[in-house]
Amino acid sequence: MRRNLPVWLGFIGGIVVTLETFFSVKIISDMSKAFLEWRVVMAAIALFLGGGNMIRIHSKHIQQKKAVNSMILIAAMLILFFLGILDPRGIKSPAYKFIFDNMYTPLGATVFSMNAFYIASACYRAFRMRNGQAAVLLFSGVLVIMGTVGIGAVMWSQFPVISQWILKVPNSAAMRGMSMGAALGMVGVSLRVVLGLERGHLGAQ
Amino acid sequence: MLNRLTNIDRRVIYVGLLVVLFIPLYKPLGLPLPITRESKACFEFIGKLPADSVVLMINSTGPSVQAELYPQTLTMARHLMDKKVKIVICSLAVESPAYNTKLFERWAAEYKYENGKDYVILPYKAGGETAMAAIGRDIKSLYSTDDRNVPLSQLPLWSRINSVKDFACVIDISGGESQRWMLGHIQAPHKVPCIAAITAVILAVTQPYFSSGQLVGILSGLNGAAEYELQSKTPGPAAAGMDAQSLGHMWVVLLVVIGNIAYIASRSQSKKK
Repeated sequence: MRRNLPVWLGFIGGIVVTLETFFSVKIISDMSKAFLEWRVVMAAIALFLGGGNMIRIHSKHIQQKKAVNSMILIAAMLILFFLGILDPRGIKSPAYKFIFDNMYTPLGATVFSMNAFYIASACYRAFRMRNGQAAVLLFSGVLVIMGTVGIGAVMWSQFPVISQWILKVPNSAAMRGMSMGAALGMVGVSLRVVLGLERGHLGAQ
Repeated sequence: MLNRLTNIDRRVIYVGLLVVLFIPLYKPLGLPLPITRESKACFEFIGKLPADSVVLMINSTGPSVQAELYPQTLTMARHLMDKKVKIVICSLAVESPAYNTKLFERWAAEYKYENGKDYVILPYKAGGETAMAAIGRDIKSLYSTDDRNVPLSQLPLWSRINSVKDFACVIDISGGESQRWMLGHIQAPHKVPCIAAITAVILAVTQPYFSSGQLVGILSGLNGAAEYELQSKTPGPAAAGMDAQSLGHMWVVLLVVIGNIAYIASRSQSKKK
């Protein structure tokens, strides 16, 4: 029962939503709509569970007396949580806005901005013409960069034209092939889940 | 010497990048910006929308991608408001509602836009692709109140919406993969024109959908936002940052060229030995 019920639920959900795509039958449409609404609700519950799980894990770290970071994380989580819950204005409360604008946003932006430095260093070390394929990657990358930035157009007016061609022709062709391959793979995996052949997501071995 | 050029210390690279980013911020260079056909198509499509039509913006901006996505949202929203197009905006990322509020706090008064009548801010919905599918299937039953907890049935703009087909255009603003969800759940089944505002890093993935005509336009990264600002003649934060980005890219290209010249020279030297 414990293993079969989730498989049956997955089967019914998968079949109903798939049938709804191809056939316009009211009962199937209604069921499909209900499944989708439940999924949105489940996602919200999962967020809550995720928060609870983080508190559980980091509480253990604090008990082991080795995590100042865990204490900061839990304190920040609880402060934001209660500010959002207790103040009827929610995310529009001045305190919440202050934390979002002056702590969360600068921290998030800073972490992402640091990528610029790592990417510059990584490009310098990785983009070497070790063979023909690396040379193609290198030249196309440089041409796209030069065509995208203003200074490239100043140096040679054809950089933007070449950059657009690379994006439109070889890139589109390669991405379409990859997308279609990935989509076919998804169809295969979805079929296995619906038919109960794939049980990894249920925690089965 | 060659060995030093093939192994430049990373601190030199970091300081060099910092310097080239600061120069244009201190003294703007006014470099020209080529307008890509993706952003041109986007601007022209929005420019042709009739006044009083309604556009749905699906926002997934967060602090990590706000440098690219918020200027895009800002410039498109200003263009829409300038055209008197009504805006419904919703969030698929948990941080995005703050940006939606900020957007209208800043511009609604200037364009005389009234909450509920000219624009509606919908609350965050969890679920990612499922939420997008629910928007495509039945947006009316997905949302019952706006971000202020006012019932949507009381808002005049919402009474004009029965399904996603009632939107003249859907704009997805995201640094993830939600533009593909939009195509799958809104563009393909309902044939609603769609625009993607994305981070530059995912242009290669998104561009084929523009070539195929599934997307009517793309705004890619800070470049896209700056191109839009230039076309709409409303210079903003994106155009101001483009010189710095331009020089930053040039620094990367210069490093790659130096590294390769040194690498090839050292390889030919070692062959001779």
